[in-house]
Amino acid sequence: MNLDTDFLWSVFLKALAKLPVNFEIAIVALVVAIPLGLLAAIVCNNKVPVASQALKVFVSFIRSTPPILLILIIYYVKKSLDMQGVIKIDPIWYAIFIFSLIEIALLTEVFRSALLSIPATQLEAAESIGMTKLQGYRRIVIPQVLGVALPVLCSSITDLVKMTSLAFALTVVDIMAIAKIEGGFSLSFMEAYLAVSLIYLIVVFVLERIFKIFERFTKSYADK
Amino acid sequence: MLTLTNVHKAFGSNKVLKGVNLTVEKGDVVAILGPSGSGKTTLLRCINFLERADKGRLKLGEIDISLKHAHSKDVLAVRRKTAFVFQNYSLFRNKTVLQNVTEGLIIARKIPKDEAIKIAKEQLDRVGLSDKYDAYPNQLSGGQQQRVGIARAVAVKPDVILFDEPTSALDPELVGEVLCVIKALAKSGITMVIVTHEMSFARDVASKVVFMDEGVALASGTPKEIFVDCQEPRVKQFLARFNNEIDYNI
Amino acid sequence: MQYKNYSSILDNIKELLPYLSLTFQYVLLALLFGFIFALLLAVMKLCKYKVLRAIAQIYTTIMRCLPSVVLLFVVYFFLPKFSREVLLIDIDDVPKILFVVLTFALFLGGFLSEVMRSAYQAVSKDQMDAALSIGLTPLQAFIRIILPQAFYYAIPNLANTVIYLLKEGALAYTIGLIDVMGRAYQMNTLSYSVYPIPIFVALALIYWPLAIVIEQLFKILERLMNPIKEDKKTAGQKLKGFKAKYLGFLVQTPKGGAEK
Repeated sequence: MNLDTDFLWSVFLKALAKLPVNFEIAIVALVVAIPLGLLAAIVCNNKVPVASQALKVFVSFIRSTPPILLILIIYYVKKSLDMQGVIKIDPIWYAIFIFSLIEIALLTEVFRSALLSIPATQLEAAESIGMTKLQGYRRIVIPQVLGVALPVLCSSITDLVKMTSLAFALTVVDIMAIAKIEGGFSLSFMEAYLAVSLIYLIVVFVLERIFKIFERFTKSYADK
Repeated sequence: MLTLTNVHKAFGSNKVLKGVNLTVEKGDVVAILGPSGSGKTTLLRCINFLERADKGRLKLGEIDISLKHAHSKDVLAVRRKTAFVFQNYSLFRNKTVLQNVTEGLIIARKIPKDEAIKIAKEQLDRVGLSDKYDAYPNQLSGGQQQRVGIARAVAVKPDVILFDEPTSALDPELVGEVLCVIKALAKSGITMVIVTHEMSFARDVASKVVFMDEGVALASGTPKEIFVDCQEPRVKQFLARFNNEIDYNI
Repeated sequence: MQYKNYSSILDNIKELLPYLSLTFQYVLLALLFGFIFALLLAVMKLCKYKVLRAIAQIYTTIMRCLPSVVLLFVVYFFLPKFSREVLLIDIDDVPKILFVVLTFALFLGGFLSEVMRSAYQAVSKDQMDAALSIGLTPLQAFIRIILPQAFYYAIPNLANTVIYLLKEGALAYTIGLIDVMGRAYQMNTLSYSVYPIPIFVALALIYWPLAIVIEQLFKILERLMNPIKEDKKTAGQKLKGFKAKYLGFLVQTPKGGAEK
């Protein structure tokens, strides 16, 4: 069985050039989702009426539904908006929107369990020395929550990067889209997708290593 | 009945046992004493092949095997003639008290279930746990768990029971109940080897005391020979504090 | 082509439901084969040969790093080519579900082997010692003492695995499988994309309760299987810990088990 390595390499390079697209989606989604996820977790754990129930339904819905299905729904919303000429923006914004939503739901759960692991006395102690509740959260509770949630947060980031492989369904021209286009031209789909596999393999592997070093660093820092 | 000759064992570069010899006669209650890290527990674990010694021979009844190269069939045979009581009880967490005791009878020794249950109940009654048959280990206190551990060991009617610091994981107020059970067993004539830090217990119950230090059996003899007459400086030094305590108590 | 009206969400749900059977089929088959494969990998990871351990570890890492849609395409395009050119068997007619099952069995092999390994290592070593000391053979000790305890530790991850399969399996429509997702996509095409929202929302309303039911079923199973009879509080905490540990996995891809 012959493998067209020249073609594989050319797709690899072309797809690699689109890596920033996937990164952009992942990074913006994270920047949106981390603070909102934290906020949602605090709202849920404090049992704020209506809001916490609504958030629970939202989290449960997003976590139970295949991401590709959510993406398709957004795609058709986009299409109708485009047709009506209401707004016409780059599809990447739709991708960022839906990945942010998914990530908020996931991080809400992550932060919720991290919050539960911080003793209630931490906030009480902060208030006892005269901090406001907000100050107590910002200066005492949230730094600890981030510390506890770090490993899960890191793995959730690599998952997000992998999930961006679905952005092609929103007509975003990313790594996956290049493989589809190039594969379609030459009918050498196998090589095209092998090239994409290679990219993801390298990217996710490197990310995992970086996170591991980062975790070790923060851990040793915390121990000091 | 049980003879160990020239047992060696190292963990990496740390030589824990450096040629230990030990003889146990039928009906003996052998107490092994010595400072922490002297290899007492390792020696006990080697007898039951929970650790593989690097060198040495084991004689148990008509079994005579190398501790290092023993075939798995012989290992099983030795294990079925001995029983082990663990420092941290090591009850099966997924079995009830009764099942903990019957497990070795039914599975290892192929005793019919009804009979196994009868034996197990007898042994549990003997250690004072007749009301705990269906409890799970984590519903019991440490002392109760260790008594189940002892019942589990006795039930299989071993030629010799090996006790590995049976009371050192217990809260002080629970030590007494376990020692009491062991004492009663000793009186009934079961052969036992006990690694312990309970000096007065060793003195009162043991028929033979072995003092281990730095991987060798430094001295052995009757309790009187070790506690009173022994001239070995390391032994005297180790026992000094304990003897002082006795003086104070008096 | 016949123009169809799919504007009613309720009707769409009724239309879609029968196609769930195919979804269940690949979930169960992938679980079955993935489990067998994982068992092999877990044994390799715990064995004493360095080379075997390394191979199993590298395989697991690769599977962890790949998005499932990418592997699905690789399998879908590689397998027919491989069998045509190397095995000289034409498999163009094999049912598409085969590719889906294979893809996810490959993923699950890696993931479940980590679950098995960490569950095995969660059982404390003294349990084995105790079992051997009363004369059980190593095999008897493993089956009667270690396995039941390890299985209990693995249940939360098994629940995640099934939900993961359900969600990621939806990607099978991209290679043209007509499961519940594929049927929704097909309905959308048949109706010239006039009713995408009622169709896909109907589908979401199938997945949502399904995932909740599966989650609850495993929670019941966990309570029933609890061989250790921990009091409810500690059991709850443990569950929470596992959930936190493997939560990331719910999104997308199998995650490694507890790091050493």
